[in-house]
Amino acid sequence: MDVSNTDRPKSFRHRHLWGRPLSRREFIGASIISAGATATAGLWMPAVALAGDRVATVAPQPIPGGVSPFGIFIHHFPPAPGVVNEPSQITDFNGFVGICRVRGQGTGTDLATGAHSRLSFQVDNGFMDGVYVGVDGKDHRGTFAFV
Amino acid sequence: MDLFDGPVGSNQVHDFSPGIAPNGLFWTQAIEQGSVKVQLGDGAASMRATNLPEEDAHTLLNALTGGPTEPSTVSFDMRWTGQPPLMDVTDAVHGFTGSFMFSTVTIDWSAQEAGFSFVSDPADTTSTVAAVMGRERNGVFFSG
Repeated sequence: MDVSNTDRPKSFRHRHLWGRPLSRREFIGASIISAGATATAGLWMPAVALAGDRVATVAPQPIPGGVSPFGIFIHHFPPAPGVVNEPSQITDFNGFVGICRVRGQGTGTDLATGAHSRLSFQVDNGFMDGVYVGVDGKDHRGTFAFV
Repeated sequence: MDLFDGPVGSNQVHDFSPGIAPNGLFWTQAIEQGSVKVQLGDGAASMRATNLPEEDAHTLLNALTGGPTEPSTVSFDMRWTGQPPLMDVTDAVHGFTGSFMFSTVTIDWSAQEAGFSFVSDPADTTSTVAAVMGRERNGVFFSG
């Protein structure tokens, strides 16, 4: 995804996986991990919280800045060659970061017909691994993927 | 993670992401501690994940405007290889500071959803457009 447009903000937000209904597996995992945490359900990050995993349970805050692809402000700076744009997606953060834009090819399969097709990809992915101040105002340790 | 039926940038057919959180957090999801390994001094980092739940918005514009999506999963194994030197960078405008190294990245990844699957070519065929790895502080941890 190329979100390099730098026009200025018109904040836009839409639903996130944390806001969608949980699958049975996610619900079970979240229920186990969140036992006793009902009062902070709004801070909960259930999408990838599975039983036995060590995952952050309090959401981080986004970086304040960003760019505006299609005139839509997003809290993100795309990676670019030869410069270090803010690589983190989360603010109040102290830790390791990585970000990239890579390209390649692969094979898609139509599971109904078995037909294969050659597809190109562009992936802007990254990681944040360290200490952050969560939406609850407290310090936490977490590992996050930018996908 | 975008797929195109044609060159990158033309005829996008899939757009996998965790979506944008109500507080604006952009395409970010918690993963298991231990999924990321960093040896900054050696210029090496990796990130692995299996069956992360995502939304397929099919196009970037649809992803940004909150259009319909389909449930999907992605798995990936990514490796950053640093290209020294490690550079000290402070950006007072955007409020972050740290030590960073430009990098090359390889990725093996796959995606699954109802009626469709994707498997990337071997990791060593990956082309890096831009990549960086490092250690940083921002927000309340930024001291100029």
